[in-house]
Amino acid sequence: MIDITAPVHELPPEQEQAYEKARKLEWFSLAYLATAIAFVYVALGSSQAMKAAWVEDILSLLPPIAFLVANRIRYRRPTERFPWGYHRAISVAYLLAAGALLLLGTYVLVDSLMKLVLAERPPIGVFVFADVDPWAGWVMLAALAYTGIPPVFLGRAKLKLARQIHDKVLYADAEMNRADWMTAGAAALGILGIGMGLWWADAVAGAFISLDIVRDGWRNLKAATADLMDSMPRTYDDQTEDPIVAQLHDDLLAMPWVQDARVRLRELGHVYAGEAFVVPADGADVVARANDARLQLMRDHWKLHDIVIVPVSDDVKEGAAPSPPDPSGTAPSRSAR
Amino acid sequence: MPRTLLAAALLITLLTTAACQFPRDVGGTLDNVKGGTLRVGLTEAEPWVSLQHDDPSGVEVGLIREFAAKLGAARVDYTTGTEEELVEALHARELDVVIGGITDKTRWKKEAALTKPYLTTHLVIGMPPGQDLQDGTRVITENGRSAAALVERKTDAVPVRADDLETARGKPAAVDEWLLDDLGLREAKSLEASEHVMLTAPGENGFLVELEHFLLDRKQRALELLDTEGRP
Repeated sequence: MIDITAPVHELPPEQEQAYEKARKLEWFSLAYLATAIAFVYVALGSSQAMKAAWVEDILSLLPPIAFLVANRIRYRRPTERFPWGYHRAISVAYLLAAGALLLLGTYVLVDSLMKLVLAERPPIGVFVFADVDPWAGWVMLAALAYTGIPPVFLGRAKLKLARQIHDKVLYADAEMNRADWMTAGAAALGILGIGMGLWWADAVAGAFISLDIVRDGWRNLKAATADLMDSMPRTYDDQTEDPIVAQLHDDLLAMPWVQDARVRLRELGHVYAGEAFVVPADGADVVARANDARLQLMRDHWKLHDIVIVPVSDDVKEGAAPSPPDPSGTAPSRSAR
Repeated sequence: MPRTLLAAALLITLLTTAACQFPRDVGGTLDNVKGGTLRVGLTEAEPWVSLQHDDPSGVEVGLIREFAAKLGAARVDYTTGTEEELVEALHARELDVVIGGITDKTRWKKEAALTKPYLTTHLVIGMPPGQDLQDGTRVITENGRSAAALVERKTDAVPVRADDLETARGKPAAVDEWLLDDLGLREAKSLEASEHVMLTAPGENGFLVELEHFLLDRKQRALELLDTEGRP
């Protein structure tokens, strides 16, 4: 029987190592975040800025979890029922997380703005602790320092790895971590503002932080939706089309039997799958050549999970064959020559 | 970038304001009370606030009087009313503090700033010496309180409703713990804990912290007052 399932995805040793490092880093992040969330919760009080910072802390659990789950799923063998494997579960999780981010951010934003409009003044009393009973604002500031400073370093380490393995989830996580000090800083200013007797400072800080959460949520929601709509793969930072499209095109044209070719890809979580439409130079051995080409491309590009070679004749090149998205990148325009 | 602007604005304020008082009141309550008037809202709730005599009395009235003396307030103004009226006035900063047996379960958490609980009291089942609480024990409960429902929900005893706890002398009864001695009972089981708080105007954080520190320092004093004021 013909095997319709994609091959089990394997990584070259270099990437495997980077993934291993990233995995450890994400586990450490989860453990750290758990303590940070607990600390902020204890200090929460009735400050809007603290509430927003807490929501952001909870949400920053999602990318590490998504990354770790995705990593497990990657090794699952594709089946007859799920011939492309389970990679896409990540995209679904990504979409849900982005939606949650957007909703919670909106809630805190509206809440903060209401407090501003109604001129609600935040009460912060003492924090009952031992016999000292300090002003709860000091405890909040300590909690914010604990959640604001370590993520800066975590974020840097993750960013380096994200570049190496082109991982979007890891990249999103790194960016979120890197921005954490700004959240904590804004919240700290809000608390200090309350201490100065500026009732609006807290709600303003809360509004700014939640605005940032909303922006994050919106951006991620757009990216996740694009993933599920099979947009052509973008680089991990969503700036340009992934160079792999151009590379595959070049590799195909470099094969002596290929007269012309175009590639379309979609993202399945960490990996890519797609089709290559190839115009053979002559009709000889097309089946064997296509088969070899498929295996070679998958061997040479670790991020490519599965590709199907579709031989087409020169005259169906335009119009009849499904046309790939408008090639704004470099490679495909060459084939239009 | 708006965030940088905000940061700069706040930093400048931070640097230019003399930090003589931290946290500072939004409306300057603490400054007004020192050498001025402490405006107190009262709702009758024995033994915390009693309006039986010309002058208000009770545990919380006693505590507030001592607090006013400590701050050097020249006078203490009392306003009586329903909790709703008083909280509204508090929110509008026409009052500085509202008392009347309020616990941390109060519905006014949004409108008012609660102090940290300064005292915990319990509604308990009291048993005469030598008797144990058993399934089916008939426990006297006062009419018009939640005691009977609590007995039914939390124990296998049977509530017996009565108009007055005076009939409970020497018999099993659900009573506030400070009444146990007078009724000749000892605690067998706690039915409900009450965390007592006072209400202040939101945003007056300097005043709130001052009051909280005062109350937390005087737990013992509160118990003494409860002992004298709590007698029927």
